[in-house]
Amino acid sequence: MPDGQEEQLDFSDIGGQRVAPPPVQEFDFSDLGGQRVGRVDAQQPSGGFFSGFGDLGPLSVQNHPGWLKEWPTTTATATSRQPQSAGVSASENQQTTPLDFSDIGGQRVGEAGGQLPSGGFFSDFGDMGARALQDPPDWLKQWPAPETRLFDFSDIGGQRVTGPSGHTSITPTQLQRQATPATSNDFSDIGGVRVNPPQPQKSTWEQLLDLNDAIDNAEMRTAAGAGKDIWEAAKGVGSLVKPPDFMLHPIDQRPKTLGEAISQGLQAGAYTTGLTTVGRAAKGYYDATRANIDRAEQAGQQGDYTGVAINSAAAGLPLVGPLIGGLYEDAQTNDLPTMAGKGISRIGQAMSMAPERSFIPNPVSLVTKGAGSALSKVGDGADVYHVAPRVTTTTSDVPSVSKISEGTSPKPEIASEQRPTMLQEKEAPSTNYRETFFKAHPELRGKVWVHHAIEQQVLRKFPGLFTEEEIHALENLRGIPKELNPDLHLSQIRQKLNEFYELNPNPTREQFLQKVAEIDAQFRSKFKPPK
Amino acid sequence: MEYCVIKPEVAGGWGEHTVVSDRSAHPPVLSKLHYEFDGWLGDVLLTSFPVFIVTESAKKKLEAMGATGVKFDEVEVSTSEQFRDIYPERKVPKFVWLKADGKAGRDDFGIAPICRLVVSKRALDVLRSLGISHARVEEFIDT
Repeated sequence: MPDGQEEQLDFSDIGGQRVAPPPVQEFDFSDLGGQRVGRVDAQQPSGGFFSGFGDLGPLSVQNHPGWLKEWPTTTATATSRQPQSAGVSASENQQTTPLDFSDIGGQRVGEAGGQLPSGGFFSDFGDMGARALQDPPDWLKQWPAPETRLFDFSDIGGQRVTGPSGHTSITPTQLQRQATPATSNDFSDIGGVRVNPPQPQKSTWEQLLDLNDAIDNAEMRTAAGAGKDIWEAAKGVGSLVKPPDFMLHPIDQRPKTLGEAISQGLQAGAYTTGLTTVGRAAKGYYDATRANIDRAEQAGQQGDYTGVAINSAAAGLPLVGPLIGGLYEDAQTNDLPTMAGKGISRIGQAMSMAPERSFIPNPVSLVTKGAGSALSKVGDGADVYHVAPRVTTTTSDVPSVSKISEGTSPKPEIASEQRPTMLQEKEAPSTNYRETFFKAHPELRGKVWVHHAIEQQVLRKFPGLFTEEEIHALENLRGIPKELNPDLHLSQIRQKLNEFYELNPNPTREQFLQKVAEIDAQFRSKFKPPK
Repeated sequence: MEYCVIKPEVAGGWGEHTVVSDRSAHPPVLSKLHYEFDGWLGDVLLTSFPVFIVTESAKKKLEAMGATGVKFDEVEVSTSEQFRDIYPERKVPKFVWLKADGKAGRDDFGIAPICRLVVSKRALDVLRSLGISHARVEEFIDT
């Protein structure tokens, strides 16, 4: 390679399957949505949302994250070793095949034929091309945590992979092989082929497998736990949404999930107004996001919590989610080399798009917030939700609740039948919570204090947020053994909840559930049965 | 004079007779307080966001020292069913609603942002003499 000439990244043959014939395809996002951004940029204010991508292509090694800078030399060496890459050279990378995201999700939209209406749901997406990063939609503001790190899954699932003293970003230049598997969530043999241990002299292919293995270790070992948490916290959240009014689908065709609502909403708008380039890109993105959401729901219903974690994260990741989505499903049906190649390729794309502290969020925060929180943020920004301003469940034996509510400023309330089901009773509702608890755990009768994870007073402090049945449901009850000075522990728990009330003037259900999860994690050893 | 942020024991929460007069404010404004005990470690100063209650004896001590920035009001006190089962013999003393309305860092009682109770060193000494061993006390830094 001539001096001064930058070597382009070649992922085309990763995984043993050539995804595109030579010449090698660069990562060129400049035409996101099927139209080269160069033309769009001319119409966009400087620093616009997509202008950053326009600057990315062709990507040079210099503007990659640090870990990627080590790849060119290795890749160059490997290229000569891999027969299928023999025809690849940097000089051939003159012809760039643009990546077309417009049909992500499997549905290509017709030609652009008009402008999106302004001021509505679609304009939020249609205007994305003109949005500066400094002024993202509200829901997007939540995503880039101030100290966003690269993909750090080290504390997902309640089991810290790294030391407790702090987070350690896992970068390919510092691969961290887990010497002692801590959990049974070992996905290193997905596809039926266990990755070989590292050898002193590694081919590029082996190094790539090492990377895949490291990702498995760092991410996948804990993904199942995180996914279970997400599912427990957010299952049924899709039922919160209702389609926009303009979607006059027959009843049986109306969307039942957030993903369907988003997709149908976009399609309805698209077909009636035509789609701009950006609109097509938005639709493609959201089709893929819908698919990820649906996959997460299906995984949760099947008890596949790893699937919940991965697909939920993919659904919540701006821009790179579609790159990640589907990998997990593919992993269940394809062989490891294929998956490793595809995964690494997509990670490479994502990393290229996401320098450290960029707008791509730390998946840890996503998982912590849970899919429900992420989805609600999307809803807040996109105005998709129609939250019913009514309470459908009130009981006559709590007159103070209705009395307190009189003459006060009502908060947006969610119809009980549309709420997440985490706290909903599996049996007939009962307000005799201790009987509910001891009926389920008769061996603990007389031995534990029964404590409400979400306090009873929440019914009075935040009326309408939870129903009485939810508060007294078994899922919301915790037993603290009497021999453990339960009064002391309960006081500590109440102090934490008190601080939560201080800091959250209008807490959401998801915030409550997240707080409960934090407290459960801290006191789980004190609870009987353990939580 | 030194000042401290005090985070009292949380022995219970709002009872069903609590009346909120302004729920849109933060902290919400209560016109009637019903405090329901769900346990009690014995401290004389208790809280349940955003209110504070003290025993009648503590009130008298604070009035005697001429504490500033504080008023007292009535509070309805009850115990939960579980509290009665676990402590069938325990009697809860008379409590009163402590309403801090002074300036934090200047008066003996004041409220700092996010409803933190700030007390002077001398007020803290009075409360400590009566028992607040389960409260967390931190230095108040006036910003």
